[in-house]
Amino acid sequence: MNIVAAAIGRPYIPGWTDLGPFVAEGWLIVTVVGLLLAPFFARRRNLACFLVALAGLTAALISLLWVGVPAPGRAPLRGILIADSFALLWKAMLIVFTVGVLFLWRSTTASEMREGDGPEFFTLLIGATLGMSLMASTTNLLMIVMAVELASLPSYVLAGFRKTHRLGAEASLKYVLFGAGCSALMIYALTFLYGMYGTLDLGAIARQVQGGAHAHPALLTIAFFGLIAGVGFKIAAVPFHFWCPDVFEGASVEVTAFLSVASKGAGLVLLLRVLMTFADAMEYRAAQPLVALAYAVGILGAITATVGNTAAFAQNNIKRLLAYSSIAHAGYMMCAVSLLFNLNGHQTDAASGVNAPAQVLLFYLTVYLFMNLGAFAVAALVYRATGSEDISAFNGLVKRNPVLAHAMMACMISLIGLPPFAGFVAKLNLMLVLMNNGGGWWILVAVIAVNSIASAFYYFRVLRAIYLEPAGADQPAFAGHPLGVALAAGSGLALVLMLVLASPVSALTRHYARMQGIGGAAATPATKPVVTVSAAP
Amino acid sequence: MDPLALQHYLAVGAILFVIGLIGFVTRRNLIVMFLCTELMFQGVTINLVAFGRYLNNDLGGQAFTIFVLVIAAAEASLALGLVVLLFRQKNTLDADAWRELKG
Repeated sequence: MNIVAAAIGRPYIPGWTDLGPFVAEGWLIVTVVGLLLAPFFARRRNLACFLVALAGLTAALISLLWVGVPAPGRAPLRGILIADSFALLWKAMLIVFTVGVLFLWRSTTASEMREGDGPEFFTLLIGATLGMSLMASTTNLLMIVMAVELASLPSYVLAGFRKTHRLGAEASLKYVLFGAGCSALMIYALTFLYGMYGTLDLGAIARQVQGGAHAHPALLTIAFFGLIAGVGFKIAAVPFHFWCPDVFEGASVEVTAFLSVASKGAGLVLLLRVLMTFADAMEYRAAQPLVALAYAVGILGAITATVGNTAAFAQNNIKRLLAYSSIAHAGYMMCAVSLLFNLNGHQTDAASGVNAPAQVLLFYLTVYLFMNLGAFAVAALVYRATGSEDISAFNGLVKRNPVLAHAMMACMISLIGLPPFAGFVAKLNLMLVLMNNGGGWWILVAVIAVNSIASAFYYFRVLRAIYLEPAGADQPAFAGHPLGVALAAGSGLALVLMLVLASPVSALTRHYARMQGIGGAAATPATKPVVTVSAAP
Repeated sequence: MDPLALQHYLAVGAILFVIGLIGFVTRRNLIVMFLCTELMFQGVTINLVAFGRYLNNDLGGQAFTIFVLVIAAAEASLALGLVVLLFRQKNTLDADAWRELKG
């Protein structure tokens, strides 16, 4: 009892210096409260909630950029949460993207959503955003689990939000079943990390693994398998990808867009931070556990990309096609995450603290965000006009709505990774860094190159429908919601601009590709006493 | 002096988890499937408490357990709500009845 008394005796109350870097998350929480209160004060509840969510996200973005990154070396909130530039750029991207999702909702689903469903919808959306932003800034096992669940639980409901839609309910069922199984697996595996090393802090665990303490290779393997299962579920990495196409088809389009970028991006960012913590503790040497981890993630990434692209060929539903496309892109990004060591030295530049895989991932995510936002916006508007999600609904789109047609063209060509769009530089950057890493990473470059060429076939099927197929008699021209058209056109323009401004964007991601406690600050020794699994007190 | 060592607790946790996992994979009744995930979470909590107790009385494991209980409860309430919704559509709890999305 004495330790309980001791813990209660001096409660820990975080001050402003601790909470300052997390004002953005605070704004998201305030927004959730505001969303629940807003319906009492407005007659048009859905619209009111849309505006509150928009205002909250704007406030979060401004405060995020205003507060910036605290001086390195300090660990706010006793190291439970981490504020660094890597997390900051991801959060900024996430919030910008969520604003895009809000506009997408406004231009498509808003008109058919029942008045009064808005508060729930936006509460869930902002709650998931909060979880995804927390996923980027923690290496504490408890906080990882909490953040992943905070992102997952609202996503399950969002997937089945169209209660009367039969496919929506089925999608939600598959999502929640699979998600519960994967999260149980992940937490069970993580208990062994806690058990073996006596701490919830991944950094301390990594240093003990490096120190050779309690080498239980089997338990360590189980722990990492569980971690990859839990995060792989968020990323939709093979073999945890089965939910992805079904949920994408069953959910409404703005939810699909949200999951395709925010959920996967958060998973990748978390995976990178976790693996980098281990790589840094092992000083990026080609030592046994690190090599196994890097190869596992690299091979998983290659398989994910290949499976995604192969399955995409057979799809006629545009949302299923984009689902498999997003699985493939998650695979490419996992290849970047697999860069845990190289033969020439550190992945983190000692002088500048820039982390090479983090830079690649941030750059790719920045571009990927606009590609998917644009593609889903066009798909949503075409669905609104035709009532069909089939690729044939795009027939003759260039005559029916040239702006949307060209925006879709930009997104599709960018997704393939061809110039003159930003997808080209993102993929080029990824492949160059993989190539320069030495070792066996050229194999991943080859896999990505072959996959990109193969993926061109199914992306071009959409383009052929848009540009070459004649529009059917029942497919008249349509205008589309101006906000949605602006969103699609803006995404297309952004893809062109980011190719023109490739070097500033690259410099920006390089500037933000720094992680606290990784590559910079000296590692502090673990203070906690530890026991082996077989020891009794 | 203590006849129960850490391994015993871990064994119970592992058994619960594996029973849950096997049930989750093999059973096709939706409610039983969700009960099996609950069983998996209980295996997790036993592990956490046992590790916490045997690790120098570290409270981290027990604190974690409370969070895991909350997560399990949230997931169960969400899932059972969904089961009710689905049951109204087809009047069956068989998971195989929902096959319109082709996985």
